[in-house]
Amino acid sequence: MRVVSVSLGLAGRNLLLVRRVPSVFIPSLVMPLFILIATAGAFHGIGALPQFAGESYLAFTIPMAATMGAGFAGINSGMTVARDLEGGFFDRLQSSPAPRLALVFGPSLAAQARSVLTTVVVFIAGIIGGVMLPGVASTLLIFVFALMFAAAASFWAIGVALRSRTVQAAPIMQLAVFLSVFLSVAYVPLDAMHGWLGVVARYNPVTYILNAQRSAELTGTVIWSQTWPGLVAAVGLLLVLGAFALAPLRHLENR
Amino acid sequence: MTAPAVETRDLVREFKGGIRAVDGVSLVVESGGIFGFLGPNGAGKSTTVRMLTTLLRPTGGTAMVAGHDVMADPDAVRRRIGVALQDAAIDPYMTGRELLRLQGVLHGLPRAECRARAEDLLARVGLEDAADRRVGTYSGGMRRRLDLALSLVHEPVVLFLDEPTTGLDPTSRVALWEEVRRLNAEHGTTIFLTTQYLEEADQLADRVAIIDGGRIVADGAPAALKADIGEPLLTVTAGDGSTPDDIAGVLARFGPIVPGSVEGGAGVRLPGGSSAMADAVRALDDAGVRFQAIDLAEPSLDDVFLKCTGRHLEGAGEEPPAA
Repeated sequence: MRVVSVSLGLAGRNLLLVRRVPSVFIPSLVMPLFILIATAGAFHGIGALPQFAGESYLAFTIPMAATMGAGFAGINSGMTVARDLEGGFFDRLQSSPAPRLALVFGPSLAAQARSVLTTVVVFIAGIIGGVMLPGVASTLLIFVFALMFAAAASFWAIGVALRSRTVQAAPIMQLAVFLSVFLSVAYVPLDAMHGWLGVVARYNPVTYILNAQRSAELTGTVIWSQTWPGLVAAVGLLLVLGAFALAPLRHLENR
Repeated sequence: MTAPAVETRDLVREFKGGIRAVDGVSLVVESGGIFGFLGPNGAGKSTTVRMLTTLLRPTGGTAMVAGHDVMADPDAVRRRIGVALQDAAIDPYMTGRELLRLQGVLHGLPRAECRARAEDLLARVGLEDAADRRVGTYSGGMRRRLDLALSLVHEPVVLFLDEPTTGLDPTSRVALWEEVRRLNAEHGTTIFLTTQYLEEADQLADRVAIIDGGRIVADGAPAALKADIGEPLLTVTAGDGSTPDDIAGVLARFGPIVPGSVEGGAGVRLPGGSSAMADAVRALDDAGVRFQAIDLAEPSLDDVFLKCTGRHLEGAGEEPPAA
């Protein structure tokens, strides 16, 4: 139970920064919006391809923007941990009897909470652009996948922070999240992709997360055959990246 | 019988490249006192504290804090210690009250107790008026007081203060000393204090260990350490027409010259103390050696350091820098 209470305490502290240092949070809110608008604006023509079956390209892009926003939220938490390590605040956490798991789960919870906000903003932008919410179950499913991706991205970024102990590692945190999204079905469906990019996208777990979200967004219903591969991919990412984030906790005292 | 607050045997911390920041430190700090850990920058004070507070794993030796092994049972140690490190590790975007409540959560206190302890400690360190201000707006002295309050949230039995007054102005420094004394006297908290300021160790500590190059070079009560040095030091600075060698030539009649005791002159331990000073002045006059200044100083912890290492402690005799 202490893991829960301390994680919530640390998540609360993390979320205070959203209110008190907007300059840290606003870019992670604006970027997914920018990506949504820029992508839908620049590439709306490819919505005419037969693979899109007449679907709105803006609706097609909404899950990608929500996922990217969730990724930014995760990176943000990793950067907070790195700042705490550099500035000495992490020593305070480490010298307390707080459960070590909470030192990762707390910032990760904050990332998940921030991802809810970015997803809401992406949906609002979609509504302004003429794309209505796809129904309660489908909308919830998109939120759940965004939460899971935020958690996975935060595990990655926190793992990098705990190993590097410096905010200068931020580009590494960002690069992996960017690549994981852009080397997936971010812009076009898998069957429209050819060459090495198609191969990479086929083995990229983010592809299956986006496919699950898109099926919910575009059909307005939760189609299990499209959803379970996404869930498997998301859980797989959480397990692998969770282990990546938690492993350095055993060696914190060796530096 | 109460276990010692801190007990280390041959404690070692070796970093990459074979650098031994702490090289075989053995200490016993009894419960209930104020222990001063004195040494120049880079001597190994902070590294030792980081090991004792479970922030850094020793590479050799053993360390017990509050009766628990720092390596075998670090959580038990963490529950019993308070830590205020050299760079006050506080989040500038949080308020004092928020930080105190969070510290309570980290120590597993129930929510109501977190709130009550926060209010109590804010009052104790005189930060009630600033409780809802962001810590980033606090002065250096306020940050130190908050840091001290944070380390006391869970009522620790051993409190580690790593250079608590570095960077503070004299008023804030004295106020912090008072709080440390009160904490020790009223709550019986054992204080393990590192400092590079002789005056601080002399004023606060009932026992002092001096560390240099990662090794303990002296350990005992300040008065006993100074008594071991022996007699007061007479230093004479050469005046017009005389040289340090002239001064040393005369003073050598009273005892062995203490090398490096004063610039531009010479010094000697005077067995007779102040009563022998007149004899020394007379001898200098008789020899026609002119002097510019003369001083008789009781032994200090710097003298202890000088005797043990052959050099002065960095900053000895200087005021701690103002914030």
